[in-house]
Amino acid sequence: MRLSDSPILERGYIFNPSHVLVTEPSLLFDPTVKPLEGMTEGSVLFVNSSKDMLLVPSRKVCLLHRDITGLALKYIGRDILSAAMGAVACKLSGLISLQSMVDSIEEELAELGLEPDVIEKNVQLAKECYSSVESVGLRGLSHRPSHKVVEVQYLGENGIPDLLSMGNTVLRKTGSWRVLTPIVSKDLCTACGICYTYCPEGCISVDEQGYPSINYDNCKGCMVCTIECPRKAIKIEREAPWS
Amino acid sequence: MSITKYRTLKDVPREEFLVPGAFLCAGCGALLVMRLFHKALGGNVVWVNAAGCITLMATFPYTPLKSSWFYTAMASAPAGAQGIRDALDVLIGKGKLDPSENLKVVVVTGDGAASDIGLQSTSGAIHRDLDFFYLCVDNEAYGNTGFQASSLSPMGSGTATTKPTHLYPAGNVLPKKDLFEIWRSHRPPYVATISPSHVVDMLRKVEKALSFKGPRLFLALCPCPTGWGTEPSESVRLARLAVETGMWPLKEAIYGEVFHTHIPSKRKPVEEYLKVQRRFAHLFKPVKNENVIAEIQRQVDDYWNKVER
Repeated sequence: MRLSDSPILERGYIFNPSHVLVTEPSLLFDPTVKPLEGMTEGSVLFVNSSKDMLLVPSRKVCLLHRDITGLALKYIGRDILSAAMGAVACKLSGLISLQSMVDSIEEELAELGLEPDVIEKNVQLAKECYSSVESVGLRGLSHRPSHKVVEVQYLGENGIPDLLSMGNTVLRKTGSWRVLTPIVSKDLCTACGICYTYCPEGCISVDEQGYPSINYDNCKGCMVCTIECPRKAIKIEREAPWS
Repeated sequence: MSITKYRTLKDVPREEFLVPGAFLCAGCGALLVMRLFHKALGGNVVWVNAAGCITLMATFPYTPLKSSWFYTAMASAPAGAQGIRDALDVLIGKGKLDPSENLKVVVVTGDGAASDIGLQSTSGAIHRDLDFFYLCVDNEAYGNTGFQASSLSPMGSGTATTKPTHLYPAGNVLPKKDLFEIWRSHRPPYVATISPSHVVDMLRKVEKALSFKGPRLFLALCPCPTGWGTEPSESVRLARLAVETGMWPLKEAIYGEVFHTHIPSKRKPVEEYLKVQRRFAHLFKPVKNENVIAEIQRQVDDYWNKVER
């Protein structure tokens, strides 16, 4: 996050962030994203997660988490997080007042051509998020390391490049994209194979009798299966108990 | 009628060539089309891709494919396919590659690369009778860069570059290019349109195409939740609605002769398809644009009147 009273013209990477906001917990361990890199002592890490985070910080990093997706579902009815995460960033910085935040959201969403009731829902959501976290303030500038030549690192043990490896995206747990979880009711299922056929991901496999099972590690929660199932045998739940 | 091994959904091959976890949006129609298309093609495939959404599928070091992948610039996927086909032929000819390890060369591009930027190289490849498949996953705009209009964007749709304004309240005023007819005019062995909702129809068409040699081209309607402004769960239903309203005719052309593989007995009004998509929302709100909706309906009716005659 870059903050300034005047327009910020600089673009590009922020190498030593004081605050890192992660909208999606699976990104934490993604070797191609590496959101924790560059965090130093005193940095703040905020994670949108409904579950208790079990991160063991190797440095003295302040870890916060809230279920922002749950709040978005409550206020907007959809997993739209931009206003909510923006509100969290505003509060954490300790620099931006509630009123400036509300004004900005109203202005920016109106520019996108959204309906007034949608903007109001976003404002309500942002207010709730703003009040749900405590301000931690900014680190002093003295913590900021001087400019350095960027080292482009090898991907490391989590993603060893291999031109000949095939079908390795299963390692990417896209299941954490999911907001709602489809659950097959065995008693209603007739093993017709329609959900298996129409799953865009190929996340549904069928056993020898033709009954489906869903790969929750990778299911993105598009819910095509729940719409296509002719028996309405696939129920929707907010979060699976085992996830 | 030729004998087909695909009669019902029970016949969909169980082997998966596309594993989960690709970096494409939830509910991506193109991903579903590729997964099913690959099942019908079988293994031993090399995909040749031109820049587009599908490029994000295989981003180093990850790939969801159990087959090979070759990435080219936006204009040149069929030229890349030519190089790979020639190389395979040379290796087999010299005895350096066992013919059992021969690969099917399959180009996969979006509608922008197919209808605008890569049209000349496609035309050239068909003209040279290159032995390849072409799968165009048509989401009716440049989805990867923010949904700008392509020449396959339908009339009346709002995109990043055809936003409805007071001068152009209908959004896109240009018609959708008839890529099927452009391809067909080259008289290749096989051209077909497919839809992810009509799976058996798709599998049969690929099966039929496998019996030919030369250019075999497929145009697939791929609902795009992000660009069309629809729920991801609606993707297959929308594709089905496009067929049932008659907006997406399912047909094939063998050496230029056209057959319709599915003629909707009673076409639903196009309004049913349009009103559920954000890209057409300006045709319904704040005031209903009856003229544009009627014009879209008229074009669909005209098309089918010619078919049914």
